[in-house]
Amino acid sequence: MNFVKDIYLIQPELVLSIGVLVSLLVDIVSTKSTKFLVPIFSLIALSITAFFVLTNFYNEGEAFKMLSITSLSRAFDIAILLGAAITTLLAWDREGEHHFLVLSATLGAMVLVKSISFISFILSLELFSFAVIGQIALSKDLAGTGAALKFFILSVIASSFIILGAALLYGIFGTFYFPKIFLETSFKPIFQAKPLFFIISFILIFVGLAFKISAVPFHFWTPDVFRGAHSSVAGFIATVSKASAFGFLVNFLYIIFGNVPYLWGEILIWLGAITMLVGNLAALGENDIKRMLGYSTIAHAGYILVAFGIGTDTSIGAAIFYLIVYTLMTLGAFAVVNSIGENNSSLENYKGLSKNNGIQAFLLLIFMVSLAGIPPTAGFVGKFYLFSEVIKSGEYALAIWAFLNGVISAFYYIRPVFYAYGREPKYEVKSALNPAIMLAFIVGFVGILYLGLAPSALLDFISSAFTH
Amino acid sequence: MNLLDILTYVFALTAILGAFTVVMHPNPLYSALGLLLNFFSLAVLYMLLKSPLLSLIQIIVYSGGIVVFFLFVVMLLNLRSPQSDRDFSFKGIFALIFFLLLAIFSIFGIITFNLQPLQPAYMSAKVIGKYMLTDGLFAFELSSFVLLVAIIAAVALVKKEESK
Repeated sequence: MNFVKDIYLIQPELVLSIGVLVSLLVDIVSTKSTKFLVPIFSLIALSITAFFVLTNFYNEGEAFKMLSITSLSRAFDIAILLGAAITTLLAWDREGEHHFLVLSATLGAMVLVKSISFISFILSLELFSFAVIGQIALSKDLAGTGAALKFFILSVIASSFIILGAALLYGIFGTFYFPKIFLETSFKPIFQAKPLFFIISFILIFVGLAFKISAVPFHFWTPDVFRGAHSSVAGFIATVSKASAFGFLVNFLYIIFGNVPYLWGEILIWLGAITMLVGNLAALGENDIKRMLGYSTIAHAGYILVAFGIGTDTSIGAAIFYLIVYTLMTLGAFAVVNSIGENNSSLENYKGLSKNNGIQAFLLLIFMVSLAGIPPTAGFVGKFYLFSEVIKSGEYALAIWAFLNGVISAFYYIRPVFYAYGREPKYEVKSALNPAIMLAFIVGFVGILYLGLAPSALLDFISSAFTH
Repeated sequence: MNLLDILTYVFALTAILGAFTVVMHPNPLYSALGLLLNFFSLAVLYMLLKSPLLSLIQIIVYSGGIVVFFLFVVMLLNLRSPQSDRDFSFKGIFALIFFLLLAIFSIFGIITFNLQPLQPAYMSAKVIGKYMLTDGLFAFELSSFVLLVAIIAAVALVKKEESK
């Protein structure tokens, strides 16, 4: 028993778990007038964790036979921590428990992307889901409770699919440990000759994960939950949940099913192609900006799924870059929604926004342009790298398809901007601009323009995760 | 086929029967009792797999604790009137088809795969305790976080709104 090396490897997770526990104490100690201490502490904990992630970026290894710590998983950690920090800013005024739940969901997500055992996978997934359900339900109105119930039931169904698939795999191999499954499939040709069992368990587990990344046809919950949840929580589900599920998908596809890539490569590409079309088409008719952003996350999940289906190192790198960019721009858009008001999410309220709320209207323009993938924003660079990976792999039809989808998406992204600048105000919208929202705006704005104009630093950093 | 095999099949059958009762019975009280039957059958199966501790935990925690809570809730909410809104629905048909396909493929997969029977190892309290504090330590600690989050979220949800 030598845990020293294992504990050395999981320093960031340990730091974050201490942060989770201390945030509870801070919540108890803080009074009504010092309520702001909890989110400040939460941000400090996330920053220290991010510091440890960056300093341990190249430390690789296996811990406790349950986690595989690689530079790749650390790159996903950066996307997760970024999303969690911005959502903490958006949820500044909410209860102290909310920030505790954000921290613990982040812990669950960080463990999830490194899981190479079904035990840690299912436990961290449950940790994440419970914390998110709590966050949704904390807005105690009817819409929030309904959204929480919907998310709860769907998470439970997704988990039960995953557990059934894991049980089937355990029935074949007698182990929960992914590398051992990989070894067994390498040396026994029967698994390649008769992959029926494999296909069933793959489908079951993938269905569960598809719920999390809201891939078609398991996407129906997304707009409803986004509409009912607080915008910070919706942003959290849109970014952190996706980053963690995609991070786990790397382990899942390349370790367990690494010997049978012909099983899932085509499936993922087709699923991604359909997902982006359905998300974009459904978003066209949406008159509520939260629901529209819900459909937009579905479409973006489609782009990332395609990159996973291609499955080269560079395409995964492009997917991680896209995830980070996507985190910045989606949370920026949710920050605008947050400052306009949770209950003013109908697009009617965005008419003539530039007259009274110039800052929000301008930022809405930037974030929507970036989501649509128009230069000089980061959204363009992300899509550019993603699509060039698709072209490099020789899937020209897919590249054209993805490009056409980008064109469709421009229609509904530009509509709120057009309303904000081109129409007369219909309602008086009182917006709130507290320092936390301003900080979120600045992070999103600077991040998007910086990554749009000088993406090479982050790209080099991500590709160093593969090549170091 | 010896006595243990017969017992295994009998209790596997009652476990499935109990599960069907939970889903199909119109009266929630009987559904809860079906759950009890299912849990008890699973406990016997654990016993047959040489894990007495797990079997006892199954009876104490699930049958003794959770089913009793279910019964309390059923009694409190007074859900006794049977609801008969079981109409023909395409969703139900789809679910049935999916379930049947899954079952057929699983059985077919087991037959083609020629699975070896499970070799049960004697799982005493000592073995389980040692596993929890050595190999399973990380999962053990992680599950403590899961429980903590569930507790805090539940408390935060039922907490009364403070006057602002």
